[in-house]
Amino acid sequence: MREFLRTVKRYLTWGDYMLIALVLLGALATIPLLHKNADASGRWAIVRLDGQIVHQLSLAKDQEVTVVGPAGETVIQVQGGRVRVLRSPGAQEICMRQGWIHKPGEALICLPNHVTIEIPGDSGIDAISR
Amino acid sequence: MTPYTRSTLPEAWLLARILFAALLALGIVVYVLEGFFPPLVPVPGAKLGLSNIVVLFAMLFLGHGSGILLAIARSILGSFLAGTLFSPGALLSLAGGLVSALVVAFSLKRLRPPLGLVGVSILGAIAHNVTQLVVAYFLFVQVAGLFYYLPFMLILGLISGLITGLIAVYLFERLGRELGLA
Repeated sequence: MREFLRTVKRYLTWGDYMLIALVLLGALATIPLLHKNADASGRWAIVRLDGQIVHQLSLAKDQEVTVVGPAGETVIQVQGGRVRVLRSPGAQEICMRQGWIHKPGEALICLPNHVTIEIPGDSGIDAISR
Repeated sequence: MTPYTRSTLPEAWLLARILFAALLALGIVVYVLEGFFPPLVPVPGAKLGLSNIVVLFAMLFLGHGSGILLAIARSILGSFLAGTLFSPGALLSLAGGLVSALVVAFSLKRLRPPLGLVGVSILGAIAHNVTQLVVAYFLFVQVAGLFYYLPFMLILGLISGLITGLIAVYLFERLGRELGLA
């Protein structure tokens, strides 16, 4: 192992070390950009009642809103960058059981009350080729 | 080392052509065999790029033009043999290989020293990866999300360039001595 490392060291010039350090720095510098962009694309949740936009909720802010639909009150909660339906009328409680959503392209639908909650944007992946 | 031409030394020129053909065959075999292995990391297009060692060798011993030509021919013939010719992946590989070869030729000429062969190899690998991203963006998926791959591509380029570069230096020392070329 030590022999191997000595050989490796002999093969590298000071310019090589500089380049390696530079690339590592560059990669580190672009990683936060990755997170920022990923968050920015899913920052909003659009709440619709009968297809009409009634709220645009920022996922960056923890909040609760109530939408009054034909069947009653639907309470929507935003917390820690995620959305869920806290309470909604309807026998099956489907939208409440869906739990939290946070990714672009995801949606919650409370059919009895005509309320939909959608995070706009596409999932970011169309295809993977190898 | 200056490349041989037909006028200066006919035998040496012929030898250089034969060496080019042998290297091309070797490059294609390595390229195709490498494609058989499952990807080491789950990122599309992530490969070690072992056939770039052959390109580097051609650049050093036959001249930069030969190296670039070998990179192009390797990608086309390699994907032909692998059965992926005209597929998006083959196009990405060709673009990546070409730009990578150009970057390697440039850095051999202008950046060495301070860089050694390993540094040149790293630059080539990164050029290969970044080119694939850019081409994929313009030709296939216009999703900015594609560039979230950039940090991964930089790190993967660094690792694969480091490994292939070290293999290359070791190989060239031995080969150069055996063949009496260096």
